Amino acid sequence: MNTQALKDFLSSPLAVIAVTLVGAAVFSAIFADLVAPFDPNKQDYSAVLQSPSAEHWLGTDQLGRDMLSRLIHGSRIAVLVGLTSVGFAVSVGSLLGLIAGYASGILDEAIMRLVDAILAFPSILLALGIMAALGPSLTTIVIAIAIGDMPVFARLTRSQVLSVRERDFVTAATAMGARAPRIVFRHIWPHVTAPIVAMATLHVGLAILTEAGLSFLGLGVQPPTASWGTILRSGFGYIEVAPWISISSGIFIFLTVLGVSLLGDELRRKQDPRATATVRP
Amino acid sequence: MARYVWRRALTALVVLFLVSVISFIIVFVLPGDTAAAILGEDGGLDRERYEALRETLGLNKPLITRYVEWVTGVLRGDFGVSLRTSEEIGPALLQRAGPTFQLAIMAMLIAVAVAIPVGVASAVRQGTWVDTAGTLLALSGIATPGFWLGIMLILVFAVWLKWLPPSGYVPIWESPLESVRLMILPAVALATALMGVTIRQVRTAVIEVLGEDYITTARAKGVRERQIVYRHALRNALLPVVTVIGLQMGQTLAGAATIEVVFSIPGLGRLAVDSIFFRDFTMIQAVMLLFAVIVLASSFLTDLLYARLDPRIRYR
Repeated sequence: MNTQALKDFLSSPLAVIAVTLVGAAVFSAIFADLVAPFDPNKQDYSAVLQSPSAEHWLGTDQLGRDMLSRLIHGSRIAVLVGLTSVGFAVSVGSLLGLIAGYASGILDEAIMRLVDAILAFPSILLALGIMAALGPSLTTIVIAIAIGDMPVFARLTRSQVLSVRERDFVTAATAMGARAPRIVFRHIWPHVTAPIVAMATLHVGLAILTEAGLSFLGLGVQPPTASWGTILRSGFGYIEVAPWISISSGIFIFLTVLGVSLLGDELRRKQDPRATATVRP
Repeated sequence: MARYVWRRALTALVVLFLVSVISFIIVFVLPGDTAAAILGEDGGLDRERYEALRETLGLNKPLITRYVEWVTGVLRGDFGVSLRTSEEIGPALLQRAGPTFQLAIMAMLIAVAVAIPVGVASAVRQGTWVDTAGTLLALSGIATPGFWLGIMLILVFAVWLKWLPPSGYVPIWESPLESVRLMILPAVALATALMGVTIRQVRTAVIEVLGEDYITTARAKGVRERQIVYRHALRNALLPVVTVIGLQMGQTLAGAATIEVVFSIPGLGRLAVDSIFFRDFTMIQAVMLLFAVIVLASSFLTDLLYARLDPRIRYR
């Protein structure tokens, strides 16, 4: 993206909010060790369940660990799960979508029915099923979210391919004797990436929510690793005596997912002509 | 229309078959011995229990035979027995479905009640601060973890204000008022995501409809703007909105899982979560199949409704 495009993008206030929130999450994930004021796993029994103070800005948990440091370190899990799971989902899903859209016929039919079948399972339920089989762990979460999201990208890519494949430059490439893989990856793929990127961004946010939900249920990242979902899980038990644990961890999740969703929304808005259709007041 | 219904039904059947295979197979993805995995640390060495479990699970038969037996059982309404409690799965599901459906329906009503006015306002005042605020509300709804909102609602309304009970469930036929009172907080927590998605759908649909010729005609006739928006535009915009709500049905039901855990509601979602902790594989299979069938059925009905109401839609 060049400077002018970046300026255009940041002309809307929502885009500025989006970039700020996402920037903060990524920054704290990368530099967690430097930014966090305390060791996130260091227990201090002289300071358990303290409310927010000058020393512990967001208070401490039941083991006297600094909440702010744990939440900053938790952003690592969120960013990691969000990016890798959606990365897998996009790679596999888009490949299937490209094949289905370009090949059509029986192959298309087979791929899309399988995609429909996976799509019939609500994401968190599919994840629960996969958890049951593979046991709870970070890797399982990534696999589960990736499998659940894959159909979305297969469908989107296929519909994009269908709209592009009849265009003249594809016919021209075919006439010049280009083989299917070359046509698909060199000629069609570049024309279908923009909506996929926007959709992928939105799904990074949803993946973070799913991870938090699964970890909250005790099926995700296992303690003592700091993850926003597991922090919420243990905080729920202390809701009456130490509400700050639950409040702050939820706000971290909310702001990160809001930022990512806004970013995806702004990216989509830039491409969708309908979003700027004129209406009279 | 008839041709469309048949083709659509045929596709649904193929997908239904694949769904049943996935539900059945998913718990056997685990490499190694399923029976040993279920018994785990406590009973892994007990030879007798191990053999009995292998027999119950039918692990001594080939996978295909087991699948066929399972599916024919399910078609007769026999889901087998729970590995954990030995109760019949069919009646157990039925018993757990009530709370979940009550929760989902209340959440849908709340979501739609908020989403329609906000979505319409965003569309009519497109590009103004009203629109920006509407977009922000929609995305906030999507970005809020429902179970966290639930915890916050408990904190504010049950712990601090003491207006509502923190958790629990009473069947609606036993005490309708108490049942709804207990269900308000969880329903609000579950509604936010659906509300967000619906606001955006209402906005897009209304914007699109407002650009149609018949709106221009109505304006030319001198119809009042208010009437144009609510009579002419919203009515036609509701079709895609209904579709989105139909398609979100599954996500809403599944989202109930975490909410049910937070509010101690004995529903299907909580059943699924508990079954995983207890490695109750037969129960997990049944719950997954049930959810997928509900999703397929609602998307099938939504499609038919769409085709019935909009003559422009025909199957490719």
